[in-house]
Amino acid sequence: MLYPLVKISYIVAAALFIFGLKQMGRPKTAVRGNLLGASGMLVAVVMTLILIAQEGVFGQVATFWFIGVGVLFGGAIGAFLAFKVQMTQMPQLVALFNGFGGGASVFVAAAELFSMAGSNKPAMSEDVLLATALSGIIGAVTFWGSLVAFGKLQELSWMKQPFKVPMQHAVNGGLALIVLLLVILMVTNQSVAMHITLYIFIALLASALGVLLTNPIGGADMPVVIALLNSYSGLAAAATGFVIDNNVLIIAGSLVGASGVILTNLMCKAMNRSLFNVLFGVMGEGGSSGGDIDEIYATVRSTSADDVAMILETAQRVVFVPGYGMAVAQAQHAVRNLGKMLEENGATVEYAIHPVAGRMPGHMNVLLAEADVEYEKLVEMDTINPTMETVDVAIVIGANDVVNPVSKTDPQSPIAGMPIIDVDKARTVIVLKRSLSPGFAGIPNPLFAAENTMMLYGDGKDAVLEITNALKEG
Amino acid sequence: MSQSPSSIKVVFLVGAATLLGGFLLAQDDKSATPSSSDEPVAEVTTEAEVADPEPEKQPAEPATPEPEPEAAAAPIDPAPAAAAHAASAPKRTVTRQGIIASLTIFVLAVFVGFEVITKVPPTLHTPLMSGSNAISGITLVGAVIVAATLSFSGFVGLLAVILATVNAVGGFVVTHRMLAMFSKR
Repeated sequence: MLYPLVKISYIVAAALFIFGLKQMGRPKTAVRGNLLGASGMLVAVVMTLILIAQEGVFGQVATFWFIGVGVLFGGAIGAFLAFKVQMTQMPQLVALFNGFGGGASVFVAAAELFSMAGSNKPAMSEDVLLATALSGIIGAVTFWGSLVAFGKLQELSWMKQPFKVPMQHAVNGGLALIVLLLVILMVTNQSVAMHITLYIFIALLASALGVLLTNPIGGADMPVVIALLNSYSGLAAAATGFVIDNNVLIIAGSLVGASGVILTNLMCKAMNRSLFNVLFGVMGEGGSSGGDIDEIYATVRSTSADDVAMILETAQRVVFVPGYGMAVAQAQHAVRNLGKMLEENGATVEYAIHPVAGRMPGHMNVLLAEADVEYEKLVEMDTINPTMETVDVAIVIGANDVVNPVSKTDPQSPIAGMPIIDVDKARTVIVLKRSLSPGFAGIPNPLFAAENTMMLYGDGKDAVLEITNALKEG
Repeated sequence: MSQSPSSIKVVFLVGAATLLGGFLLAQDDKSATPSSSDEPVAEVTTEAEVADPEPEKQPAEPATPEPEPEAAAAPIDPAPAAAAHAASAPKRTVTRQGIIASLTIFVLAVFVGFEVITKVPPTLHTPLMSGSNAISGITLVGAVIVAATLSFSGFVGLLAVILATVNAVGGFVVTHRMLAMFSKR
């Protein structure tokens, strides 16, 4: 009786996941959606544990506690990380958790395969072997890809520059081909020992592939990669479901896979690039550099915090345009305080968010929400652009490529066709930036030299604080 | 923040009922042989679940056909092996559902995913990602099953258990933290 009951609990869990994901798509129900997902997980896991406690008799109670300790240990680490993390570190943490999910799939498929050795169970059939291999491949790519992404986002010093691989594409292609051959070998082989050996090789090569594929991707392409790895972690779970013949894994995994694909798509659209281009294209190398830098930046005007404060004092409508630089400078609280002050002054303040600003989908929204900026004030690109002409002051803080008008004027540019926030149409543009160095795309930004633009050089947070102080005094 | 209490209650009632039922049944029953009676039970439970919290509930339907294949497959008995190994591998007392059944579920679930997750506002991109990422920690269920032997494969399974729990618990907690932040006011 227990076994069918466990199966039923899996159906309940699957239904809860579906409700949960649906509700997570709306601001009003998102909290509940997440709780629904968590309860689904709880139901499925606890029922499985009960099943093991009752029937996993091999070491009787020992096995159960062995697993129980593992769950407690993992849960403690997960909860600790989740409570401790600062909102600015959110992209790294999401990448890390993602990787762990993929790693778990590799190990589950491996354990299932290893358990075949020395047992008189019937050997795995071809389809199950194929699922096992896929589980290992997707899981390993997810695990190592996510770890590399984590390293980049955490800005580990030795990972700041991608290491050079000669003939990158040929190496990757060759690796993928070898993996494919090994999979064919494994599926057509009869011996369990061979299966295990081949699986280990496949997992190792897929690990290398995961590192090599993620290695050259960075900066502004990060949101795409994170969303894609999210999708992979789901697919890995689904493949594992095929291996151990478990429907809740298949259902939950494919739901996550679908949600990851949707996000990946959104991110690609926001950059006007194809997924292929993001993964295999080389951004900012060769091609047109957009003209001579000295010439373009000949008319750049710099300003001081006092002058900015003076302009802001009379502004009726102010729009902040945050980018990754705001996250790096941890300037979100300072920005919000400045915004509050301007509102007390009688101005309308909004925050224009580009879909790929930051390093993960929705990164800026999370940061500004942490700083208590009201949800209604975060305006999407498509909403704010038509009204840009009526904006008195646009303050660009730590953003570059997402406000570069070159995307519309130069079809040869690496960012050609990418939708941008049209700050150049605002009456006055103030750019807070450390220097004139180019953004991720590696091209100069004519916005900085525009007639209505003024540069305020310095650390984003310090600059905002200076403006705030100048406003107070003025 | 508006958390409709009714929906939460439903979830926890369903969860509590499932768990309680499991404990009670576990007390007196050690046999893992599936009885044919599980099929109608499965239908009823799912439908109740599906009907309760939200009326516009089409997408969940494809999830329901899952119990049939293995119920149908049950009569084929892997007898001697099952008897000998019931201890170390309880799940194998039931024949596999077969690749076609698994693929069917996979494809339908992908479609459900695409239908359910539509037009997510940018504010929710990060929480959706980390929340769905936590759901992919469902590998934990598989990990627990394969870890249930005292052997090398059990040890590998334990590694999977730890990784998957970090993924699931951390993912849900951090998502909750983020969403709570969004809805502070």
